[in-house]
Amino acid sequence: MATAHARIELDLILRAQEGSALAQGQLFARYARELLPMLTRLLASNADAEDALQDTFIEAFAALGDLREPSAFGGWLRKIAVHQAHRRFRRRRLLGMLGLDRHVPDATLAELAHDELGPDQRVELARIDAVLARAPGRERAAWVLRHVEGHELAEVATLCDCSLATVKRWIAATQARIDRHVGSSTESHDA
Amino acid sequence: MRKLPHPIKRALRDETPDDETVERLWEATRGKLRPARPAWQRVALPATMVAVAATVLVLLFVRPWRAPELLVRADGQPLSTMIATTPQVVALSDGTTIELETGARLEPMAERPGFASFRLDAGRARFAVPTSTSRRWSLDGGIAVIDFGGAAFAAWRQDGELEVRVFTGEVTLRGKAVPNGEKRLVAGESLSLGNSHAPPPPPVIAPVPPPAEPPSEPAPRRVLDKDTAAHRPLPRLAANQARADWRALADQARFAEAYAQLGATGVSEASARSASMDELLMLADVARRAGHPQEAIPVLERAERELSDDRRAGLAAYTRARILAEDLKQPRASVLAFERALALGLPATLTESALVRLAELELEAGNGARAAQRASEYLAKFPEGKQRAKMQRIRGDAP
Repeated sequence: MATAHARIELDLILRAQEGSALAQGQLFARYARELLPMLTRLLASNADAEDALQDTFIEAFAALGDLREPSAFGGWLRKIAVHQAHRRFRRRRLLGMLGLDRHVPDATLAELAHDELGPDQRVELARIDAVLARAPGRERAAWVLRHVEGHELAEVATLCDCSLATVKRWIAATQARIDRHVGSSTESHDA
Repeated sequence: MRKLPHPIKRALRDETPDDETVERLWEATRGKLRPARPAWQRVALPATMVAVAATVLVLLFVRPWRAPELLVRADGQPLSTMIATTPQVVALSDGTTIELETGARLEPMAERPGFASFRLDAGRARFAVPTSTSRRWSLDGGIAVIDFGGAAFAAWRQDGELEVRVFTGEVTLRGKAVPNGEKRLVAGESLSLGNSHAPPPPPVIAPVPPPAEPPSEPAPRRVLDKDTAAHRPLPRLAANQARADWRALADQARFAEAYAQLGATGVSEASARSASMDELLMLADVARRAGHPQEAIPVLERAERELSDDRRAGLAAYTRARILAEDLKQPRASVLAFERALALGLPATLTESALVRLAELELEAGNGARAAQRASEYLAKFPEGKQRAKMQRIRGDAP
């Protein structure tokens, strides 16, 4: 049987499936604290991250009745969140082509840097930001999930809803651009 | 040049949102979750309001408004003191039922048209008042008064403690012991008040006497003389401290320790005192995970029987079914428990699992026809289910 934490979450999911607003709110509170920072780092924009978070839960609660395994709720929710980030990347690209992209990149990696970070590391973050801003959305998301968030490759593939080979290719493509631009790479963790 | 750490987020600030931000974002999200009224409703609503007003006027003139009648028992007998020497159910004339556990004592107090008042002197009582009622109710639980209308809830009173658990509708608790003097509970919520929920008094430590001369062996150190009557903890305090401790251990998944904290008959005693589905499910967890699955069975049975209105009653039955099948190897009892779980209601995911287990158990017991029936039920409800192929085999479909 599940641990107490998992049992409480199962109970919340069951009640949320029945439409309990209280249970939905408690699930939101449980996962918003994890998902909002991840979305902020993915989208490099506080406003876009908050919008994406809300849309994540709207989509999740609308589809909650279809969730076969309540124990997989967390992973399923993260996948929806990454999907919402992809939607915003696509929208930015389209608006950018029309000259209408108004999003404010106020949460880039350099903006989010620790106060104790040295100037050379800040410069490296800023260069990475510049590359990510121009990278295709899917490649950018895959790289951020791997190297910023620290997910294993298999997990990144699940979150991006693609094969392991594809996600490796996306990450490698973005890494190559960063290497050319930055002049040194983050330590390779993908043997 | 120092390299960035991996993952890079270790070089970034912790942007975990605070409670206020989470609350703000939830309010914004919740507002979007409510479905918008379609355009036709915005036109039809004013017309409907006019029609309703006209209907009310007609009723007022055609049929005088009738106040609720005085409350009596369903058999016509007047209300009187109820003392339960065995579990009993009292049905009232307005459709209300009051279930009393052994040892409960319930006293009717004031009663007039539109209002009924009781006092719970001891024990556990469960009220189920129809939502159609216009009568207001009040239950004096000693340290708090519970006001309610159409609702289903249980109240347990023992000495200076009161516990209230709401299954449907809402109740309002009032009294000095209630946080802020008043607390509204809705379905699924519970509240415990009383002595055990106040901070325990600090232990009295006897001063260490200075040695008169260097001792040849150390003088016995008198820290807390548990044999002294003044230091002996009150039985209720000790019992309730143990009660709180086992929950804390269970929350940390330390089930063997939680079981040990409860003692040899602790699971049974704790479940008899409990009015909470949360607590009963946790007790069953403790018993099972500590290696005593047979002790979880009566706990779960009580949850299903006495808290059948709780939406987790089906979950309790489902859990019991699994214990019977997997831990106690009682397949026939497990089948009955799975059937009970389905009758009480389960979400789709557990319904699917229950039907699969029923088909498997019937097949293992040699009941091929019943197994095929369950498999058919599964395939009808979950045509794209994960266990589709297995259920088709059990049903005997051609490959």
